[in-house]
Amino acid sequence: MERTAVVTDSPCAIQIRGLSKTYKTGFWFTPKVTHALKTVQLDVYENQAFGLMGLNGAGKTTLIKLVLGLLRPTAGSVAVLGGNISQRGVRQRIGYLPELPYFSKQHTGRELLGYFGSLHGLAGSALQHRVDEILDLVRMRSAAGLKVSGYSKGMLQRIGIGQALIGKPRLLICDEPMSGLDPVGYKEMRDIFIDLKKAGTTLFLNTHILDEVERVCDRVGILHEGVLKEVVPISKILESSVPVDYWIDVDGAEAAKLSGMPFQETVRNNGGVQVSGLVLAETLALLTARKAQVKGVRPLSSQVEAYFLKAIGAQAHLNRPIGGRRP
Amino acid sequence: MKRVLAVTAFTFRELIRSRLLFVWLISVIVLCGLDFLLSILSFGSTLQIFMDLGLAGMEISGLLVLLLGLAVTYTTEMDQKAIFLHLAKPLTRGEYLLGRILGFFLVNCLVVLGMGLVIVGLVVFLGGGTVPVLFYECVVFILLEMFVLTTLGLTYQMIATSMVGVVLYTFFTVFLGQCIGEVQWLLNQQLSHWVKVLLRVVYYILPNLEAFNLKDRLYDPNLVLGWAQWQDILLYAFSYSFVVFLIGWINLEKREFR
Amino acid sequence: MSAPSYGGWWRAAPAVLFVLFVSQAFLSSRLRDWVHPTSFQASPVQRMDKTIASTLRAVAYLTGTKVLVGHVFWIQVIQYYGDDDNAVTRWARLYDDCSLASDLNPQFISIYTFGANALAFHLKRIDQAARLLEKGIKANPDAQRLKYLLAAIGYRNTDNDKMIIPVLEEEASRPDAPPMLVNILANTYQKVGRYQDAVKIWQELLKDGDTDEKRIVAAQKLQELYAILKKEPIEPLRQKGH
Repeated sequence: MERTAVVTDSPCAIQIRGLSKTYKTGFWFTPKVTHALKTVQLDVYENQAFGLMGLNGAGKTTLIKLVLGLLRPTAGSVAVLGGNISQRGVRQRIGYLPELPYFSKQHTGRELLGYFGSLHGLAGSALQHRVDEILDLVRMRSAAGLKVSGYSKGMLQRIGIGQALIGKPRLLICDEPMSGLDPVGYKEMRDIFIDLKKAGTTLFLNTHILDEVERVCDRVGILHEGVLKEVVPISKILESSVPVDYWIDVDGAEAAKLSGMPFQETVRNNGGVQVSGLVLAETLALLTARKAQVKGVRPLSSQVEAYFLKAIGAQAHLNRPIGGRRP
Repeated sequence: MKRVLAVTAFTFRELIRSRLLFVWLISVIVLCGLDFLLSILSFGSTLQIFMDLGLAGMEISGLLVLLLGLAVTYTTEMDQKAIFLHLAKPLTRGEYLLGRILGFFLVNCLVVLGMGLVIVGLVVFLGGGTVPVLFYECVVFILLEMFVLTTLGLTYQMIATSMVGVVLYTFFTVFLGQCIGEVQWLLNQQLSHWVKVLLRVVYYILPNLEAFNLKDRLYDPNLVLGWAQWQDILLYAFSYSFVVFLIGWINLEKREFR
Repeated sequence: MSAPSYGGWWRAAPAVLFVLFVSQAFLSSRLRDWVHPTSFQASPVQRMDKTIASTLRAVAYLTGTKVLVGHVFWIQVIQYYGDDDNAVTRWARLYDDCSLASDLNPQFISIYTFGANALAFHLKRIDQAARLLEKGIKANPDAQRLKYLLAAIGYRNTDNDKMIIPVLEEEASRPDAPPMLVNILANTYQKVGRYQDAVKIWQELLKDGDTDEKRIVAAQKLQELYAILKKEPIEPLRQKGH
């Protein structure tokens, strides 16, 4: 995997200063105020991939909508590609993939791409050529003539990324781009991102999938409860010493030998134990002393995941697996 | 303008393929059935009933297609948030709204003119009569009315927060707009000053759909429809639509998409 | 760097809208002269269900289909007019029916002609017929038929039957004439001593009458006229009438 170096003096694709967003809900007598974003400062550099991580409701989608001008800030400002998002020229150079994109079901994939291409000013054979290119890129050529109503979730996501790329964007903003994709689609999408990055496209990925962040992004922002907790290069995360969880395979018959161990949590249902990296060596030593049969040891969570959980202060989660990676 | 036309073509295709034209087809079948029945029952006024029913049918089917189209596209664009994709593109919100209006209006033209052809066919081939020029003028007036209502409907779509709201607002505007003649009649009665002020505001704010209701004056000997009247009605239709479009545009610019 | 703001000319939007609204209101006021030439009409109904009348008016005015609703209502009025079973209910409210239909569709001449003929010559309600015709003439100043009919009703009122014959002849020959107008014309011929003209009409009805009742009436009338003319009954009469 190729990873570009973080160059902080490169020009900003997105520059956010003191950005806040407050939602007012309820009626006259029961007004409610929700602070979706609190004074966010962020620079996303050109030709880099930036990953925004956060739990559900952290404010990630709100941030993207503010960047795209779909929401107006309560305070602060956003500059995109050196200009204002309300300018046509700025939007001409942006591609956007919303979370679970929804299209008019009456059109075919080709028609949709053609329409979005024409909004980017393409016409005639140039448009057709570009549509064909995109269809090949997202591997939708064979289904291009079918109506969107017959598409699977993954196909919709592919057409979604296709429409985002149709105008050859300099900045691609994706909100949960891996939603609905199968493992093959997931890998293909990741490859597309890596290729785009190589070609000099700036990526802004808003994602839950930490593996994607680790493999694609150069820098990561961690958003929690509307506050941008940290912005760090991915290389720094990978080099950090935040402990990860491990799974120790112990023979089922020996499970009784595990009682009274200094685990923070044990999982015995299929003859194994999950421990924090902090107590891994001690646990293995104790198991050896009790003559338990240890069949193997493997990490459960990634470095990025552990870093993320630490950053949002989820100490209680540190020794629990998140995502579907339990053996 | 290229982008506006792209949105127009997109909207037109979306509406045409969303089975809205079934409503039109059903309207035509019902109209022909009613025409056949009433022409038997009517007493020497077969051609009149063909034309009266036909003109009303054109207006009602145009309105039905508009209301259903507004409901269907509200669900897609606003509820399912498909509008995000359009607005994130290099397209101003005004261009988007104008394109939608023109797309809807094209579908309405198809519906109204299609039914008009059926009526002309009935009058000429079944009734053995000729179609007066005023009939064609009525059709143009109905198209102008549809343009105003389409602009209003799409503007409501940009303002309202639910599909039911859009349909209800449009529906009631149609009813109230048809009563503008009665508001004018009330203004000539003995009423208190403030009631008259209120009525005058209503008179100017609501679309004067009575003005487009030429079909109710198809046999009116007092009707004068010269160049001056055409000028008045065209200017009124387009100026009213323009003001409504601007309101819709401003609302769309200010609207936040959560 | 700036926030995605909507400044610039948007700030002038309220002023632009105001100017446009005023100009649109000016245009709207120009329409008044030719869009609303006639005043709103709601003739009072006496013998008819007021809820039905109000509902019909509401539907017609709210949907902008006055002519259509008036026309369809009129069609259902005339369907059962000649039916004796409806004499009590429908004939009693004929004037109300005509008023409502003509409120909604004031340029539909058939309402006035059919209504006035039926009211004056069949139901002998001369005043109502005259009122209906006056309303029709006001709404349709060029409709000469209505003026002739009004004159004929005036003569009927003064038993000047000779003067009404030309109008009745004209009316009875029209496709939208009430069927009994032909009978009325024949009776008027008989009344003024034009027996041969009356015989012609009854003979035609005897031959072409679409119901047995009509043919029986025609046969009886012919018998009466032949007695006056001292002529032998003709063959078809013997066969069909007896």
